Amino acid sequence: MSPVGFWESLLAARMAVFIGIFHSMFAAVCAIAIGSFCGIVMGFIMTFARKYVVFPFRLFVDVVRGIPGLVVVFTIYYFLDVFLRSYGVKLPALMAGIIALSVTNTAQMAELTRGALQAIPRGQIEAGKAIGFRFGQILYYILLPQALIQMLPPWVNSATETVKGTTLLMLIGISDLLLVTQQLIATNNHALKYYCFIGLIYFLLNTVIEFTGKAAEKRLRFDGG
Amino acid sequence: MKKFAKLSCVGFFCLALIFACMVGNAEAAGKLQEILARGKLVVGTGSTNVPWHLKNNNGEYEGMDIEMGKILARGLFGDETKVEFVEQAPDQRIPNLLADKVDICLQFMTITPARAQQIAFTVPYYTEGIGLILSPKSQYKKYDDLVAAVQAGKTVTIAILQNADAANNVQRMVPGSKDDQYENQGLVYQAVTSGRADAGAVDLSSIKWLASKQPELYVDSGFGFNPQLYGGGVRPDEQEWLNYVNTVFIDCMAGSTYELYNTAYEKWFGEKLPTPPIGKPLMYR
Amino acid sequence: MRYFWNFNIVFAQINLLLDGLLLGFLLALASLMIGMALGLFMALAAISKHPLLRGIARFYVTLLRNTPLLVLIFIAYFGLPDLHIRLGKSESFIFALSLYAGAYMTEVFRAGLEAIPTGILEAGQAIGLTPLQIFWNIQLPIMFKNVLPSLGNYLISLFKDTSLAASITIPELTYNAKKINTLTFRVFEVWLITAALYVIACYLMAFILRRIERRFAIQ
Repeated sequence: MSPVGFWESLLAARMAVFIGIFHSMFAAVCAIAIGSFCGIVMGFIMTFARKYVVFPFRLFVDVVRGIPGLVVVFTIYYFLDVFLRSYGVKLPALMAGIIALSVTNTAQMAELTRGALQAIPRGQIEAGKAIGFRFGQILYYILLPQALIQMLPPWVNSATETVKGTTLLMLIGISDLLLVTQQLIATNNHALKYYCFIGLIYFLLNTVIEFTGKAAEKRLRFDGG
Repeated sequence: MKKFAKLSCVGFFCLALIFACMVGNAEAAGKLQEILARGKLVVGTGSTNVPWHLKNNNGEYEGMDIEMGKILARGLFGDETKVEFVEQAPDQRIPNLLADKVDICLQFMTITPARAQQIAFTVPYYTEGIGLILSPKSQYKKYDDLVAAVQAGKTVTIAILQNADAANNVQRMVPGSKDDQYENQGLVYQAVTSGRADAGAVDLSSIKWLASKQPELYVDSGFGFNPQLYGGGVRPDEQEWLNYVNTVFIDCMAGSTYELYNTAYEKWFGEKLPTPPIGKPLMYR
Repeated sequence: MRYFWNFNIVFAQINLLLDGLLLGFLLALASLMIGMALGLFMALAAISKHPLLRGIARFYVTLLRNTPLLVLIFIAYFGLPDLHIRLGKSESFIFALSLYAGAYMTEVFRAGLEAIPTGILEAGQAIGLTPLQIFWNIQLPIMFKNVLPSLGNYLISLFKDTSLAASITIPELTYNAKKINTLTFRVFEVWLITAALYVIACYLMAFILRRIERRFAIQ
């Protein structure tokens, strides 16, 4: 068998690569969506709830932020599974991976939200109360719009972090882009070219996210005056 | 307020019912019945080790381990496509079984007494040995060169898959060498081709396959040792299921379905096996 | 099936884990140092008037920040030998992590430099300092004071990133944890202790860094 060129082997394996990209993107999108929702809710709780309510959330955020993503992935993969199994639920690896990425992302988002909310002067809340707003109204008309604009740049950052984080999923056997690449290298060699190629794919994906974020920020700032 | 209380009561009961169903289902029948009811076999395996398990260009699993999974699915459902392969790293073979993520593990798993305390093994379906694979670019051309280099005081690094006997086996092959333990077999090959390791300790069947298919990348060092049995793994508390798997495996190696095993064997090991003889069963001869 | 906990098997090998922890910290520290040097140069390029320099800095930051670290590590370890560049195991990892850290450091330093009020620099010019003196005696110290908290945070974050070194068989905490895993099959105990060690180490580092910061702030 003659050595197969890099582009030839890539072309032959295009389906596998697409599946890999799909798995990575699917995991990233789910994790970003879940993480953003839970994180923002948690951030609000941590800013406005009573001390003893805040404590468990604080603990969660601090502990998760102190563990490397890789270890979070492994721990969730095994622990959550044992826990769920006692209820007869089986956890596929991809789900475990998505949950693990969501957990890291949630902790990150909670911290971001708390920071953004605390940056808004307390006087504004009091002003809201003074003109007879309920808490929900204060939240909706005063806090949320400002916090969201504040949070957009770091949110985009954490989104790109999550996309990069999907590479960890290969270590629990999910056929993400990186694992697919390793399968290809195992049969075709061309390590440097393959790695550079997928590095480029991740780079492009993240650059698109960054650009979209910047464009959205510009619009929001304009609308908000 | 009343409405809320009512709603939450209903919600609570629904949840309780769902959980009860799940727990009930999980404990009711044995593994074999569970699989038959599910209509699909779940096999834990890998994708980075030829000729045992790999993915072809369409992203489908192939290899000898995969063939064994298909034979089992054919036995269960009369249809070899009713099997789902779950990707797992080699160090997850036992944890995934214990966590009940897979029905059976078919991933070039060596039968060892230590492992048999954790999981139950099926009958073996291959006798494998370990060999050393080299890169043609390497300064070492054969096994003796490696040993000589260590004796001359040079550091010789041997890449090997992370497992309980890894360090031990490397010492037995090339005494005094250094072991680098990687997470999957693909990385071991990369370490050899990139020159990160002087040799890779991998299965003899893999060496044979690679050295014949890709001579520009891999050379056989001509060394092999340590015969070891490859078997499937199941959870230790599933005796009925284990019996079933054993029956199917024995039958395909020495009985009526011998053609399935023989065809797969020829495809992946390039050797034609004889038809099982009539008379005393093959394994007692 | 019941699971029987047994932490003793893992505690018997706690030294292996602690050694790994130390190695991870050293790798992070080395990468931070090199990353800082790289980041300083790139930050200066980023705020320079020359469009080409600015372009290089911008390209470097976007490229490195948007590529997964694990991919960079594999490029450095398995890819570079294709080009006949052969770094050792730890060196490859430090190379990848420094490049990665450098991109973040560039952003930190750039922000730190831009945050210095121009009035201070003009004051420096007024008392007749050369541009080099202004940079060395005014800009650099003020900037470092500004960015000290974020440097600490990045050290912790890099320390966490060293867990990826396990994938190229560097014996840091995660690699050793996986090794004990395969030897003892005590998956749950090992990961629980490993996670706890990481959290404790990060907290300890954060605590010490805060004290250092406070000392600098008083001066």
